[in-house]
Amino acid sequence: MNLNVIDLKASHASARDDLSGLQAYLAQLIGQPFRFMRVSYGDELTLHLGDLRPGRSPKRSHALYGACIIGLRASSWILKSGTGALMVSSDESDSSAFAKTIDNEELETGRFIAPDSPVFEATPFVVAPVEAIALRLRFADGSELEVIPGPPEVDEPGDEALPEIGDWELLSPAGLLTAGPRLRWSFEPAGGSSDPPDDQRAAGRKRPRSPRRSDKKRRRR
Amino acid sequence: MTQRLRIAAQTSLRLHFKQLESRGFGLVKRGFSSRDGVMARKRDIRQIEAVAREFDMTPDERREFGDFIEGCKHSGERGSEPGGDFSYGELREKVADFRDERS
Repeated sequence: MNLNVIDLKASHASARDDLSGLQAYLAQLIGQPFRFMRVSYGDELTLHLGDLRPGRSPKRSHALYGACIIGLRASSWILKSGTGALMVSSDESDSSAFAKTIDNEELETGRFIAPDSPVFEATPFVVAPVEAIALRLRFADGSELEVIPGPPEVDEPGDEALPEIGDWELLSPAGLLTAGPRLRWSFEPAGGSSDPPDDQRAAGRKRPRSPRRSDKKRRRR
Repeated sequence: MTQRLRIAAQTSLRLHFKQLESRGFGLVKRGFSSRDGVMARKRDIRQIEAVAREFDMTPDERREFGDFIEGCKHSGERGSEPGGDFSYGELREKVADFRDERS
């Protein structure tokens, strides 16, 4: 019998289309119970799974966080609830004429995925028209979440210096798994790794500088 | 090109909705609390990412910072951007408060 072992202590940057590698990293989600959803800044939906802990920052110590947090970033998503309700967040869809609209508070009530329902499938797949990696999560209560990245956007004036972000991510005790933009994905272990990701090693790239640091330098001059 | 891709993605979503409707799903659409639009949402998230990098936040801290900012909006604080969102400079100024560093 051949077994596959994923080393979650090493960083990883993939080649394009390495979906089987990405799926292997997603295996850490299997069996994790759903706890709750929360909407973060930028209307980003986050799903909290696994054991709950208080926030680590002083100002967030009153809030609970799942051991595993899936952040959907700016991607569209569709939630097929085990109760039969279908929820969409895509503001570019034309569903508003026949759909009931809910707000963030109602979304966070937790009535759409049964609490403690474990994940039993986490599958990445390519959305060919937009060349991006989507994600399908299935829960034991019959709920299903599909995360569907949009096409790459052209920067608005002033946004060019902002860093690119992934299409979705998984933050777990092991580290940060990021899918996108486009068909790339990477894994950075918690606490950093002695090995730089393969693509950064190859390119000799340094960490992108924030726009504000550049501004400070300009001001000093 | 981007427009063509967007239309392709929307068409694929519409087909998906129709298949789901035929399987008996009811439809609920989430309302947005701030500026609508993927571009605006993505910009907000990219700004959080930029601030997190500037202040050397861990992924955990960056995630909690985003929640903290959303909490500020929820409690009535308004930024200077459309929809009450915060500008990059305003987000930077929030870091000390978030880290409890203000005297």
